[in-house]
Amino acid sequence: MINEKYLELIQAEVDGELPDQDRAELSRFMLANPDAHAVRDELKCLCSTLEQVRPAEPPPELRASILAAVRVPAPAVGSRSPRSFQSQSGALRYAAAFAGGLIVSAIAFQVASDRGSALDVSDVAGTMVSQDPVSRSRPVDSVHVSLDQVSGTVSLFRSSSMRVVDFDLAAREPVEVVVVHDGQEARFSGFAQSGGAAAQRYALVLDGPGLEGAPIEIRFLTAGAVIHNESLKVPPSNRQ
Amino acid sequence: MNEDSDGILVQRCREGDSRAFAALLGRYEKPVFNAALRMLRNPEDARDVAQTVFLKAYEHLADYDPKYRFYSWIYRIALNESINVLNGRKRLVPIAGDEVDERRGADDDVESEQVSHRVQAALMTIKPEYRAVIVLKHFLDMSYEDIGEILELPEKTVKSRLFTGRQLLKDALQTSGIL
Repeated sequence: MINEKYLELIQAEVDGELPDQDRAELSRFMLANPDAHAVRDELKCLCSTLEQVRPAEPPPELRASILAAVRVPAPAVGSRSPRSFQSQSGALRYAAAFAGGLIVSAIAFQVASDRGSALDVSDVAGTMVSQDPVSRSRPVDSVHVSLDQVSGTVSLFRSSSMRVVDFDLAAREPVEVVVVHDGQEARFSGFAQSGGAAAQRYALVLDGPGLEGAPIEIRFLTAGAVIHNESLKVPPSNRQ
Repeated sequence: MNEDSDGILVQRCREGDSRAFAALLGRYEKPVFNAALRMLRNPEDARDVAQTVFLKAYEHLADYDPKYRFYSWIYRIALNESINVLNGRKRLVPIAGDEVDERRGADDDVESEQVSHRVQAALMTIKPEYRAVIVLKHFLDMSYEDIGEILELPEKTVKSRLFTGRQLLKDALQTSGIL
């Protein structure tokens, strides 16, 4: 049985926190107590096993949802607000609160126009300092659009109560996108221009309970006329 | 260096600079999420906890005492929120699919993924007070002093809990055949 004091010193040594003044004492103890080596080896083995656990990546929409909540306080459920919004100038392109309780809030951000890369919502409003691209994040649904006027991918990411729709699109002429979900509507335009200067890329955050079931309809318009329709579906969650 | 710049960012946040908050979020999003994930196992709960942590931090920045390290403060909030979730679970039926989803991590390697899975399962068998010190030590790389500050415990207690927690974790991992 090893004295508690020496167990503490062994642990401190393994953790790299052994004070210099205790080092000689521990060495003497280890020489005199071969059994203590087994304790140290077991502890090192445990630490080595724990080191194999690699950090998990946070969900891609986490940063955006926090920034959204900080910048645009979510209104009380059931509050009245406009049902349709046109995009505005500035980094925050769209902020809306929907009545009815299904969608508590929906916010679309202008994000860096970096076509072809995975969604990195840390680009939201261009404020992040340390960015971890979420290239490993997997959309739960996505559609590819290949039209004369616009092309690219629209992807849906999700977490427990939130959905992020990433519009990675390039337009050859002015294209407006209308997103309709459960009777609510959001509109925006100004996508990256194919072969031209960088413009906007958008992420639309849908927040609130009951997002499953109703599809997310996406309409593409030029000159006010619908040129294409797409739909994204939110698969049922595993959770109750 | 990090601590100093944290302090500057916090000060800028208090002055209304939203970019400073975004910078703090960028710096601590991943460790906070991982701390919650290791405490709770369920990635969706961890995500919710991480969100709550940052919103609370933002809301209470005025209460933050700069004599403490910012990360101590935010990790303390993260662990307290995680423990609140754990306490809430006691009153609920177990949730189906309550497992760590490692797919988003760098764990393309199957063996490493299995180790992660078993370690997480073993972590869940030990009491939260022991789990917390292990999470701080092994997954957030905190020193004894840091852990003491975060958990508001004397360093002696930190060492004692860490030793006991490791023994319990080792037993659980031996049972699962990983050690």
